[in-house]
Amino acid sequence: MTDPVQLVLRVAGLRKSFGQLTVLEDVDLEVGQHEVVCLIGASGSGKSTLLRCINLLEPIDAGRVELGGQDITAPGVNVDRVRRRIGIVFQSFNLFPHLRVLDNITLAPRKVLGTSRAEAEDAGRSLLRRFGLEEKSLDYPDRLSGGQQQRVAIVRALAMQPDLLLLDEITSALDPELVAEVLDLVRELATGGMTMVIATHEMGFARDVADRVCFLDGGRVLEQGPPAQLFAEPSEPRTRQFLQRVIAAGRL
Amino acid sequence: MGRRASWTAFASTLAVFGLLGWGIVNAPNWPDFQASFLDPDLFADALPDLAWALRINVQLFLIAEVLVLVLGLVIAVLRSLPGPIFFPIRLLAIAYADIFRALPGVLVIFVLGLGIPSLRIPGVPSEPFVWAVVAVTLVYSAYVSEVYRAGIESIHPSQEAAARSLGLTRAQSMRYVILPQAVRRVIPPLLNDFIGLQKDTVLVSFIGVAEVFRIAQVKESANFNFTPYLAVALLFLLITLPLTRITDWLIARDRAASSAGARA
Amino acid sequence: MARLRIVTLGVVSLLLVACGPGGPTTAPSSPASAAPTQAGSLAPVETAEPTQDACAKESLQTLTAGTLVVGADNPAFPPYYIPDDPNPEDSEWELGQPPNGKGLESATAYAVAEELGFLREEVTWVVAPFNTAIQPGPKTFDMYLTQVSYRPARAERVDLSDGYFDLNQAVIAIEGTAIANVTTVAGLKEYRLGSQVGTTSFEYITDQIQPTPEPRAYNSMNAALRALGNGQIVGLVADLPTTFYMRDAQLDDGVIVGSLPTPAGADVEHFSIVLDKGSPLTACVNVALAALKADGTLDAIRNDWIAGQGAPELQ
Repeated sequence: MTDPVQLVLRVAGLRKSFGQLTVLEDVDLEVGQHEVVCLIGASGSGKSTLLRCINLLEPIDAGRVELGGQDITAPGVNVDRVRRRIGIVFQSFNLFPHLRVLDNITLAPRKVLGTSRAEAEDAGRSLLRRFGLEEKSLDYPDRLSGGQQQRVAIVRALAMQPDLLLLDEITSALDPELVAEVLDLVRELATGGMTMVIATHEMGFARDVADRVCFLDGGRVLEQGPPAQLFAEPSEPRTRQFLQRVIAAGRL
Repeated sequence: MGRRASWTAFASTLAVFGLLGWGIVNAPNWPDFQASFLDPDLFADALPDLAWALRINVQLFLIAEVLVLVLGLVIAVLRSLPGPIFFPIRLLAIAYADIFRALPGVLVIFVLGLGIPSLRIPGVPSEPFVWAVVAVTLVYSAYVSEVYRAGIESIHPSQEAAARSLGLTRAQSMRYVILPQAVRRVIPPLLNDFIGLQKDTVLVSFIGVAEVFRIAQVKESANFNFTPYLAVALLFLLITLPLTRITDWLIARDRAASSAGARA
Repeated sequence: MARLRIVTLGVVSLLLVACGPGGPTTAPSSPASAAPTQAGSLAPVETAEPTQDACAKESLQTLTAGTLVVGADNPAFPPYYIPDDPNPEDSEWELGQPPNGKGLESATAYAVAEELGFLREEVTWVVAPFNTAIQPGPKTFDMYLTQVSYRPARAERVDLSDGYFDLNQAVIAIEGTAIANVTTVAGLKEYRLGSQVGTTSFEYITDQIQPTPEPRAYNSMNAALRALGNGQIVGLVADLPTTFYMRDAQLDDGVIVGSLPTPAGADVEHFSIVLDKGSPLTACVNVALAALKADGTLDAIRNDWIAGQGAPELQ
């Protein structure tokens, strides 16, 4: 059990329905500092919804979400302020097409945190440099490849120096040859100690980088544990079923 | 176009327009038509006065267009304010757009331009030009607000999701992410409405403003000749054609610079 | 670039053909119209005098055989057309009711009709706006009376009869305004004047008074009157009898500044009946008017409807 004081994220009894359909039913999750937690499960198992509930893009029906000990789902919470501390990267990158790469990255630091343009651009450039994208800084997003765009999207989220980074199937929309560069970047972040919750289909990647893997099924966290253990000896039958299908598809 | 294609186009144009011209000139009532509509002496005589009167139309549409672009945007943004507490504001914005799109422009001009000054409310100006600006602005802002709204709604919600996720407030995400993209998308229909506005400035003749159509009317009734109207038509063509070309060029340039241009 | 050149070529060639010689440059073609060279109430008609037979009722080529259709604008104003009290509910006439025979123009129309041999029941009335009645083109009436002044330019496009009423233009203003004290035409120059577009009243402003502030032209006399009430114009020019009606019935605080002099060297302005260009009735209408003038009917009509309207004469 992780020390509560060090918990970056705690989700308790979270319930989310869309109309009649209950997508998440009593989800519990704890993420400690510097931990990397991977969410795996079939499509429709609620991985994306869970992430969107954590950063308050979706309102929850029951339960609570705590960020660094603060209940961010309580009424009266300033949602915009909370979102500064959580970064999220989407499957479809969602870069702002009318802004150059550098402006995409510096927009939030300047307007939300009040950072000066010069300072924000310096910080932005050094992040881009770190990930080998500096020469693209003045290009518009549609000049970049999918992999480059996704990496820029990650940098954009990092520029706000979030406590927690959420990655929502960030390689699912990429051509296979571009997946590696994105995963490498995430590996580097993990090594650097970034606290992350990653929803992914890439089992090999999950096995490499995760401290813990959570298997979502039927709207709950059915099983969780260190990747070595979960992939090798899953205790739940459904977990086994899922992994078997994944192996058969050649993805593990 | 290649050389051969150019020559073919040239010959074809000559043939088509030449034939058209010949057909028109040899129509049975051509001499009467020419006398009534295309009298060169009257044309030359009327043109300077008309061009001078046109300055009023130009002033009117330049001022009104600026106001329309602003007011239209305000209405569109007000209409998109979320939450129950803003319901009355949304309602007002919807009512405004519905009412002023329903009313014929000339009616608004007439009622405001002749009606309001007759109430003699202290401090309210009676100058017809002022009311012309007000009326035209009110009517066109309604159309333009709908254009903006369509633009805003055409922006994929994932853009707003990304912006809000970075911590930008709703207002900030509207201002820096949604609106810049939305406005760029609707430049062609905005320009269309601008051209409509330019032409509708002639309606202010109803409240006595001595703009170009009114002057043409005075000349036409003095001489019983429609040539002045043709001169007015030409003047409007001269004004609007460059504008259409410029827009096309703007759109093409935007596309070349990829997506859309401005920095945040 | 090539495309631009080709388009320009096309447009230019079309324009050249359109504006170049393609026929006679002046329009009017038909000869036998009543366009007297001198103005004035009665001028000798240029065409040969029609014989009595040609003007007999049976020979008259009216729009509908046996009926004389007379046109007027709506609203029809006193003292030219008078309202009933009250106006009939189903009447299309807003103000003056031409069919009742009251008013200078209604009475004149019926008098001319009688001279031509039409009984009262054989006269019908139609609404036709002033602005379109004096335009060239086919007409919905045989004759039209709504304060149409004779002008040579108009006479080239429609037939204008000899005059049935001489008039002067006048200026009406609001009591207490500075313009009300003006006594000369020159004194009007500094004021914002207005009238109905296309009328001789407006023409008087632009040609004779030539004020410094740009005059305002309105689509109707009523709109111009409204503007006068608003202060958007300070002086309205209309024919003198109309200004009396405006002062007495339409404005609370109107005052007639004065009547405007006939321009030097010009003939006194007069109203003419409008007929379609080349109408076969025109000559006979003129014969009728001559008879009505000779036997004093026109004078009597004037005395009935335009009584004692004196106004200061602007110098």
